[in-house]
Amino acid sequence: MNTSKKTKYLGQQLISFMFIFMLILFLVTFLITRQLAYKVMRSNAEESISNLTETNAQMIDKNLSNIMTIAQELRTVINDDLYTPKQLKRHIHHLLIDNPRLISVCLAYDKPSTKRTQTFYLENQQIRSIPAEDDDYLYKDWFQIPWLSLRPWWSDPWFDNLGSKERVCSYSLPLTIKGKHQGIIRLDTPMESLHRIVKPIRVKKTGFAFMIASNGMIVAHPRDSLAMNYSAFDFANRYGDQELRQICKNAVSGQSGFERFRFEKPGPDVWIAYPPLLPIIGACWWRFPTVRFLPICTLSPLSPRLLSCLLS
Amino acid sequence: MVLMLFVLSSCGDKCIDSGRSKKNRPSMEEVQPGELFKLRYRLKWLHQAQFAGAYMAKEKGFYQAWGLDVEFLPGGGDHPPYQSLMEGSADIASFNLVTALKYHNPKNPAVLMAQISQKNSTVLVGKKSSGIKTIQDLDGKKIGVWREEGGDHTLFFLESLGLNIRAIPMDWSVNLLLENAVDMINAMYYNEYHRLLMTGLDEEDLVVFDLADYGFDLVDDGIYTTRDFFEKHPRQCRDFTAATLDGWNYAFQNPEETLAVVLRYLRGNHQPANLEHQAWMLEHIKSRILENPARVGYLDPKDFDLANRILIERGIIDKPVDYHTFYPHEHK
Repeated sequence: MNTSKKTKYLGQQLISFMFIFMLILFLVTFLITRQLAYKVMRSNAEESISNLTETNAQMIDKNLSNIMTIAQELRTVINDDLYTPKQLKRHIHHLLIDNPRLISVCLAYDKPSTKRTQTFYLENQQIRSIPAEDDDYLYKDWFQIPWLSLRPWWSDPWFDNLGSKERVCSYSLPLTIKGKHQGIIRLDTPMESLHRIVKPIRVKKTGFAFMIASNGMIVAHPRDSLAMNYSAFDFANRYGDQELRQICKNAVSGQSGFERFRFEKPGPDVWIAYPPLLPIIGACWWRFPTVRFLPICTLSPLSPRLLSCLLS
Repeated sequence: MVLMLFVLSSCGDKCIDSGRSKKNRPSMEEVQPGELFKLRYRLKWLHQAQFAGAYMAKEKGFYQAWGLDVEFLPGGGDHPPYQSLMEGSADIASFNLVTALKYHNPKNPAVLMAQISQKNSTVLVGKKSSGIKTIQDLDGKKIGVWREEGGDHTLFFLESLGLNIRAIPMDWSVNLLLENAVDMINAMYYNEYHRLLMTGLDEEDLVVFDLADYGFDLVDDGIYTTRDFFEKHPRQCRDFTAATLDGWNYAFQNPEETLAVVLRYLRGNHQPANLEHQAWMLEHIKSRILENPARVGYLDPKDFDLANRILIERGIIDKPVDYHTFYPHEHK
């Protein structure tokens, strides 16, 4: 009787042991598979998001580096004093016609030549020029930063109510005539052309892209109310999220990454990808080897950076 | 954010007494729109939470209840408020105490109606990476200083140091510092300092010199009019002051509603409308207005003497301006 009970008890123990062993095996296998699947999915997602962001970053970069190239060439023309004022105007006219993403050109001079400052733009394919109303422009970022730092600079978007009457992003670089530092050349590209690239980007159902300037300001976003009102750092601040702040810092300093964080805890995971733009600018540099001053570009990173944000 | 709104709303015993009994204020029904006295108020700067009290005074009908129809005109570099007041494009304007004393014109001086800010807010901010650690390190450096009236505090301070400093006149942008085009910029603690933090710089990345720590605790925002206007319309001037202080009281007690109104002004004027930034501003403006809760809107003679002394030392004025002429209806 006792032996039968013992055998039954041992049998139960054996079955329990096997069941637990199988359960553990199943759980371990499940976890490993899950981890592997997660890694594969993450790797795939990272690759596809990175491709998407880089493709679009390249499109933006192409637009902007084209403006930079034109600016460098125009500066050479003016620096070398190759044209008379009339010829220079004709040259700018051709530049505006040949480059639809170049919306206006400003030749801005420092004191005492501020009255020579003019903005050129197209109206019905004809070139128009407007003199500066006053010398207030001397205190605008687009003039002051390249003037003081002696290097090219991409401005934050601003509304040009004098020339193009559009929101533009300007590339300015110092103008030196006969060895003397005399003013600034400013080339404007409409923000609308960058918005057209960024706004339609969609990743699955919830992913989207937005663009921030090097000071963190959101310059293009599917939610229009955020653009030019908020900095990416405002959101890190709003959610008290140091991780997000660090991601934003990495992005504005030109690093690349694909990272996960949570806006709200508990809350859904958010993936964010930010591609590097500097190597792309470098590529443009090689693509246009005839432009003499382009190495300067490496000192002056393009201000807009593209971030693709995929909400899981 | 919620915490910030709570702090802002916890007015407690630090609420503003406008100095005039609310019982005297006519009800809105008593005043017919056609009877309202029109006033043009030139703000010291562009629309922002710095003027929240005035917005709320208008929004909640305090001005109207006193029979006033107030129009807000943005100030800043394009519309310097003192100049605007003297040219007659504004009836009332907001600017710094030193501005009023610097341009003091005995024939038609600016008279103070209320000293809103009770403390200096101007600081010099730079990046620690520039190597600046002490005020003496400013020697040979470039400092961005607001052009027009706003930069006077900083200019007087920099001149007093006797160092070789190049002051670069600038507009409101902080990009000059971010791009290392200058070594430091002047900033309002309630405004540009926060904007710098929202560009990714941390507090530990920054070196800050508060002008108040160096004997330059010059009070800033005050409400002014001209002597002529004040003598012609004394009642309206007093009513405007009372309503504005009531507006500030309301703003501090209802920060959420106030911030919504501030954002509306910003959007309406095509300015960047950032809730977080305006909340920071309102919180810090509150501490400056309520520095001495018992005497809100009052110009302390000590602050007045300090401004007079600094201007005389700097050779801007020859003799001190008289306190009672300058501030004709002192708070009781």
